[in-house]
Amino acid sequence: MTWLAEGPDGRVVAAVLAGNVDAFGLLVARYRDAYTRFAVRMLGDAEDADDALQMAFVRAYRKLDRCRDPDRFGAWLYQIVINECRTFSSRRNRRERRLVRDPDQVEHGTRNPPLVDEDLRAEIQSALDRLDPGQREAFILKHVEQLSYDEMTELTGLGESALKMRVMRACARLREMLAGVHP
Amino acid sequence: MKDANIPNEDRAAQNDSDDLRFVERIALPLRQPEQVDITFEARVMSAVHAEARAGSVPGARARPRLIEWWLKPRVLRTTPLIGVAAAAALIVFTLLASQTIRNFIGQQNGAVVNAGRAQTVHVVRFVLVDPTARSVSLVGDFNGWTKGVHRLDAGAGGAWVVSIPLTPGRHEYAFIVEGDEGERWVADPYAARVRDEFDTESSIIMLGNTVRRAVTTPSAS
Repeated sequence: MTWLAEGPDGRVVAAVLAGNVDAFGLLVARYRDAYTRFAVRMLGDAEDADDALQMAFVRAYRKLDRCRDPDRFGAWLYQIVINECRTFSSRRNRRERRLVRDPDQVEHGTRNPPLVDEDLRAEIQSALDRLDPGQREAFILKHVEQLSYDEMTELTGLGESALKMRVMRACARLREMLAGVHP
Repeated sequence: MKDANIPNEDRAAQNDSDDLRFVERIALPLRQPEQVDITFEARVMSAVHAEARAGSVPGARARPRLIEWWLKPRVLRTTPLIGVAAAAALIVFTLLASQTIRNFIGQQNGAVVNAGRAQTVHVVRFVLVDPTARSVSLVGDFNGWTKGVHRLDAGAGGAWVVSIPLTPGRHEYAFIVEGDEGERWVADPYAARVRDEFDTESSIIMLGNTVRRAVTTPSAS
């Protein structure tokens, strides 16, 4: 398995398609951490992110024969992760709409400085969670994952101008929500 | 409150710079790496092996899905206007296609007719009534005048019958009847006859586009 472990993604994908199921573990090991940050930031919860990533890998296995460029398995998997997070997010939003939120916590919870780093991150994440999912996704890809608009276009299937608009609106909304924390 | 003396371009640049600083301040904490649980890989592979055991092998699914796609019932939603336009387009297409086919056949007409004649096969039933015969064979130009190739079957009332495929055109034939007195050459009394250079009579059958039934009775000789 050494030649596989050291080989390009395309070789591993070919091995899996030839019936070597265990070889898929090499792809899991290669990419398990790569998209975790994106999933955690998108879903705002480590357990949800874990579930979404696990489902993304299983979907990738099921559809592996449709990976057009196996040497770019990582980029293809990223698309699946993004889609899985979208699905997870919309499902969770429907569930959460049934819950009654404390309006004070939502509207004024961000205005309680000072904050330690962990609290600060939680505060920012909280604001991120309240963004429109499309804006949140665009903001994370652009400013957290630091992708170019070309890369974002390839991954999301959206046009560059639409993505720029989403990022701009996300920034404006975050600035508004975090005014008490980051004036 | 903004200074009215600052030019618009400078103000825009300052706003962009503020935005960038703001974005960097909030994005920095979010860029801290995250890691999945150490059991993640094992859990994923367990699920993948379960998929494999259930027969979900990547690559093997493509063809059945294609078949499923064709077999799955679908509802086509459209407007009445588009429906009428589609029907009109189908009618026009059908008319054009039929005209094209007619033109093509017209161009090829002579060859088709000739080829049809060449390929047509007539099944001709030959009957000879001779209660005294022990066996009867049909000979002719179609079997090289060879006895025994086309044997007639004995039927009721002394009738001997055989049906053979023949190509259109003129054919000469006769029967060889084997009886108590040996073999006899018998021409068909109900068909036109022709004599060869040895003064032996044979019968003639002309085959065109229709099947002809040849019925013979015993020769008077």
